[in-house]
Order: sequence, then structure tokens, then C-alpha cells
Amino acid sequence: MTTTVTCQAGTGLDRLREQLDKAGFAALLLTSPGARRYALGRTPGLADGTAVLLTTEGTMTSAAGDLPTAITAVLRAGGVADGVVGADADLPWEVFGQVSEAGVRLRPAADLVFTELASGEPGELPAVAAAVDLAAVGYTAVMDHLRVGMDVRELSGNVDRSIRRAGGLLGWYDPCGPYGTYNPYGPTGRAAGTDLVTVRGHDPGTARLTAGTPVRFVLHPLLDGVAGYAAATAVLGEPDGPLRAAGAACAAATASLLAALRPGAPLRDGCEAFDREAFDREAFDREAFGRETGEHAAACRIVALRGGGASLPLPRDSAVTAEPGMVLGIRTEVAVPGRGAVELAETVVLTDSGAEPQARTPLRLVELH
Amino acid sequence: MDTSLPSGAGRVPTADAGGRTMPLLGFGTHPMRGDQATEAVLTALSVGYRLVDTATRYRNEAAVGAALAATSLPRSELFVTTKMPPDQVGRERLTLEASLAALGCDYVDLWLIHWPPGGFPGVTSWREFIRARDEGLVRAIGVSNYSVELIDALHEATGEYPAVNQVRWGPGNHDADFAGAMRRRGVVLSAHSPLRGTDLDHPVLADVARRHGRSARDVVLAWNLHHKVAVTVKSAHRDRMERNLSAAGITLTPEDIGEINGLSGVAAA
Repeated sequence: MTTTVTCQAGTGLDRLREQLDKAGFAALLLTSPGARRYALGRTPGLADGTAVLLTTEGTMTSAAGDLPTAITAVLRAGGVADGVVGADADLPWEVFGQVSEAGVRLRPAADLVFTELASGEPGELPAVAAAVDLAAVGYTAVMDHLRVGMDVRELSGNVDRSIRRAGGLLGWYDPCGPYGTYNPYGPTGRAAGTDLVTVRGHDPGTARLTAGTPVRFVLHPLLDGVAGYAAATAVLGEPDGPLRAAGAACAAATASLLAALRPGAPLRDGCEAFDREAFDREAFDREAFGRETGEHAAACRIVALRGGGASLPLPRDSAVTAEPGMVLGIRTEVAVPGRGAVELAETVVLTDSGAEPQARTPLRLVELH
Repeated sequence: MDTSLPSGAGRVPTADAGGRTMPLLGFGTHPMRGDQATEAVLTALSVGYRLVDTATRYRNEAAVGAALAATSLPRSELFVTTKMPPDQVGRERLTLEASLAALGCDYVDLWLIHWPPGGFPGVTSWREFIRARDEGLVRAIGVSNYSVELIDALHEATGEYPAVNQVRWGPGNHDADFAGAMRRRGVVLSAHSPLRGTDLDHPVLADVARRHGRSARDVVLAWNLHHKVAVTVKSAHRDRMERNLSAAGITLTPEDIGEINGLSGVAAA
């Protein structure tokens, strides 16, 4: 028997509840870590679970256990057995089987949740700036000390010291997991790191950095519940042609993504702009260098950052439009066959004039020699 | 008892940094930004500092530039240092132009490579530094956080030693061999974070400080100046700026120097 806990939703969720109501939902089912973290952070005292339910009436229910059971439990406890419920994430088919027997109609609500998690209040921006500053501090702690033969544990120790000295607290672990699972073409390198930085590109046998292999590091500090978000890639030594081409492709495609984030335009335009630029570059590189990287050699995603971490990526069919005040994380990657990838990430704040990078880490392959 | 601090503003020693006279006691601006940085630099200049130390990485060059524009001091009396971060290899000129634009200057007095890029000497960048100096965009060029081996590698590749090497330096990591190596190559040793890594409560420092009626902090600064090591100090508070500057007026005895040198963990190793 799954235990559920119910309490009054925090006032910080009022805007989200209004949006639920407007959309005709009786409740919102949250199963992704980012969305659960966001909602629970605004409802003190409620423990995390596998599933969290927010009702338009203002209750929050949490349940642990396996996903289908937990979902069934929160729906029952939330009293929405015959209503329309929005879901923030794709759910396994068995969930639909179980809830439909109870009369609940589940509908996608990814856009609604993404908008909520991206749309910051003006008063939140200083905290975002401070958190991103911490990411920049971490970037410096890595970049200034990189050298061939360096042990990645020393590197992550430097980041920890620098960020904690600057006031950062415990962050969350790399949401991509140990193998960069959002990457459609599979593993691109083992990860190492701490709760503040994740590093890829080292020799997994020795934990040391080598010349010629791109070193990627993702920074994810947390300051007062706000996440910093940045990533960079460097190569120790002069890159060869394919690596330099991958760096150039990633830089150009990332720039295209940022340029496409204009107020009023769908956010997915950013991903489409990235794909176009990366595809064009890939075609050129295949011609120039004989690269055989497959048609999915590049990947990007846009995430929302409110709530202390990254949300689920913006769905490719999303209709969410860019609005001034949104705080987004963008993350891009171009594979270098056999040697990992060039990976970049940045936190951006949308303004009337477009996307303003906050960490200002280099959105290009950094060459160190 | 006279509690007024002796003025050090008029007697800050200098060094020859690649033909440019460089004050050995300067004002560091990290991590100040924005209006705080501008106000602090203006206060520092009014107190008597003439060297202002910034860096691309500090993200405060525009704020420092605002102070340089606001001061009545002529540019020729000021010594402005900035630094290129290692991730700008291949973009040296762009970086310098951005620094000059932010600072509102036609030139900087000293431009440093902030860290050895990837642990390498950074010969590519060094050649660009030499070119920028020869074109008059910078008066002197140097490095920061470099070992003797890396400095020699630059010289071997280009025939040019850096004018300055800014490193973390204080009594706790004083290394006479390293200082001697810099001196023999004509490289001015410059200390960043001169107080970090030093136990200011150490009985030796406390004793020397007591004998001079000053703080251990003042004594550390004076010890650096005695060794002809440039120091950058930072504080947003006028009284601390004045106190730091007044360290130039402290004359340590040979016994004082010997005792403080003995605090080095490097020497003891």
C-alpha cells in the first residue's frame, strides 16, 4: 500500500494553479524531478515522492513507490478520479491503463509546466545573476588550471573550493546522467565530478586529461535555491581538423539557436535554427574532412531553470513562445567521432532584444596551447 | 601616542617593468564590480595609489574605466594593468581591443597572460603580446602564475622575457630561488593575494608588527616591498587603503626580514 501525504499548496504556486484552471485541468501530475522540485520547493514540509499532484483547489499530494502505483495513489488522494489531469512528462502506457480504469483523463501539460518553470518574476533575476556568477567562478577554476596529465579529481576539487568560497552550496548532480543520455547517438564519454561540476573527456583508466581529447565540463552550482548553468569544452593543444570543425559547427549552431530566441517566436525555433546550422556544417565537414558522423551528430536542448535545477527539455513540438523575463538554459553538443564531443551550455535571460547570456563562458571550443 | 599613519603615498618604490616605471604598491580590483569598483578606484587614486590592477576575467574593466575617466589625474601618471585569460588563445588582439575599449584607454601600461594556457607557455599568445607592445597598444607585457620553465620557454621561442610575473606570493610561500631566478632574468616579481596563505597570527609576524607599532598585515606588505616585489592590495574602505599604502613607509630591519623569510614553507621543505 502506497502512503500519500497531502497538504496545502504554497502561495508560490498560485500562478500555476491559475494556468491549470484556464487550461481546464482539475490537477497537474508532476513526475519529472525538475517539476517536482519546483512545486515542492514552494510547499514547505511536503516530502518528495515518485509522483506529486497539484490540484486547482490548492492541495498538494505526494506519493513514493513505483510510478504507476504512486500516480494512482496521488490521483485517488487528490480527489480527481473523474477529472482531466495534466501531466508534465511522457508516461509509460501502463499508467494510462490504470488511470483510465479510474475515469481520469490524462492530457499532456509539458508546455504549461515549461512556461511556469521558465517564466521568472523580475525580483528573481538578481538571484539568477548571482547563481550564474558562481558557475562562472567554477568555469575559471577549471579553465585556468587545465593541463595535460591533470587528475580530474584535482579539477573538481578546485571547483568545489572556489564555488564554496564564493558562497555556493550543494548543487545537484548532472541531470544528463553518466553517459549524456540525451545524446541520441549514444555514450560520448564517462563522467566524473562532484555535485558542482561534471567532467568528461579524461582517460577513464587513469582519470587524467590527455592532449587532443576535448575536455567537457558542466557546472551546476546552487545558490539560495537558484541554479547556475554553464558548460564549456577545451582542448589541450592545437586541435586537428575534425575537432576544430566540430568546435566551429557547435559554436555556429549555438549562435543560431540564441539568435532565434526572440520575443513572440516559438522557443522551438531555437532548436530548429540549431539543427539547420549544424546540418549545413556537417555536410560541409563531411565534404572537407571525410567525417562520417551520421545524421544526428549534433544535439541541442532548451531547459527551464526555475526551481533549483533543469527542467525536462523543451519538447520538439512545443508551442511555448519566448517572452521577456524567461530564464532558460541552452545546451548544445556536436560529436567528435571516437573522441567524445564539443559541448556548450549557457544560462540566458530573455529580454525585449533577445537572449542575453549570463555566465558568458565561451560558446566555442577553447584552444589551450 | 601618535596614532596617525605615516603617509606612504609619496614614497611608493618603483621598478623598471620593460622600460616603464611601475609602482610596487598597487590597487587590486578583484572581485569588485560596477559602481563599487568605480568608487573604490576613485578613492584609491585620491588616497595616492597610481597602479590599478584589473583583468578581463574580473568583468570590471568598464567600471575601472569609468574611474579613470572621472579622475583628474593625467593618464601619464597612472599605471593600468590588465590580463588576458588563457581561454583567449587565438583571440589576443580582440581581447586587448575589448579591454582598451572598456577601460577607455589608448594603451595599457602592462598586459599579462593571466594563466599559462593549458599549462603550456602560450608562445602563440606571447608573439601577439610582443606585437601589441611594438605597436604601442601596451607599454609592457608580462605573465601571471608562470614557472621559471615556462618563462624560459617564452624566451627561447621569442627572445623576449616577460617584464613581470605576477604570482601568489607572501611569507608563507616565499621562495628565494624563484625570486632569484626572476631577478636574473630581469622579470619583476609581483604578488597577488599577498596576505592569503600567510598566517597573520604567527608569533614572528606579531612580534615584528609590535616592534614597529603596526599590524602584521602592514608588515607583510613592507616585507614584499623590501624584496622589490610588487604587491596589489584590495579594499573598498578608504581607511584600509590608506593603511595599506602607508606600509611603504615601514623600514624593516635585516633581523625582521630574516625572521619573516624563515616563515616560508618552501624554504623549510
